[in-house]
Amino acid sequence: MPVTVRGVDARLVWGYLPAGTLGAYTVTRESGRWTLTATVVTSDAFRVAQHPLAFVAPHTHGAWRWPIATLSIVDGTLTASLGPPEL
Amino acid sequence: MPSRFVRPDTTVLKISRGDTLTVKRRLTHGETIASYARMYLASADGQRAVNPLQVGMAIVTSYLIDWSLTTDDGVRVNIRDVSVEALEAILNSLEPESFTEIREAIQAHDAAMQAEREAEKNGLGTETGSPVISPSPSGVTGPTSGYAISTPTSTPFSSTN
Repeated sequence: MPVTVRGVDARLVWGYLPAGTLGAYTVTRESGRWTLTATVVTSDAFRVAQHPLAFVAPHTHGAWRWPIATLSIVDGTLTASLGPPEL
Repeated sequence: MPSRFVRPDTTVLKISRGDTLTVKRRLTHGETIASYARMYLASADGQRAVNPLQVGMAIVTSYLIDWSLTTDDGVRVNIRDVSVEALEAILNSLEPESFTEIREAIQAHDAAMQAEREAEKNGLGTETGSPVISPSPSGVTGPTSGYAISTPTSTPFSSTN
């Protein structure tokens, strides 16, 4: 069953280091695969190129966090494939 | 040959009462400069001078990422991802002895990391990057101020690339 999470104001992190801030984002799970599309507000070119990166989306009681498997940023839009969310 | 860039690795420091501090293993250049900025005061003539009252707070807020400290109800006090200003406010609510203990543990960690870097510069570093940390640091006395530095970890990430 497809799952979609939409929001604004998320971030990319390399370990504890901030690697970027994101505006509107959409996370989708389809056929067991998680993907992310987001508007890039700021990004640190060095840190975004490091591994492992994670996508962190705050919510009322904390934050969801997904490891990023692959990532590309084109014209201010980030597209990434994600691993399973970390609980 | 290790990279000149700081990886976001962490280390857990053990303090009294079974509490732990999760700290950055090393600071980046940017974090170091930010730490200095928080401990300096601008005087009337435009010169800057160290504010000795802020040195301890600056180093603690630079390194501290998380901890196990709780309220009286046992609820963990969240400090992960909070702003420096918010972290300072939380730290200022600690009993003085507890802040001193945390500051001393982190200052000892900072000194150990500096010693490790010096050893690396002199070709004395280990291939594993193990920190030069004394398990029984000197200069810390009293039953409530003991601490130990655990085996270094690279949580949450330990993979190499």
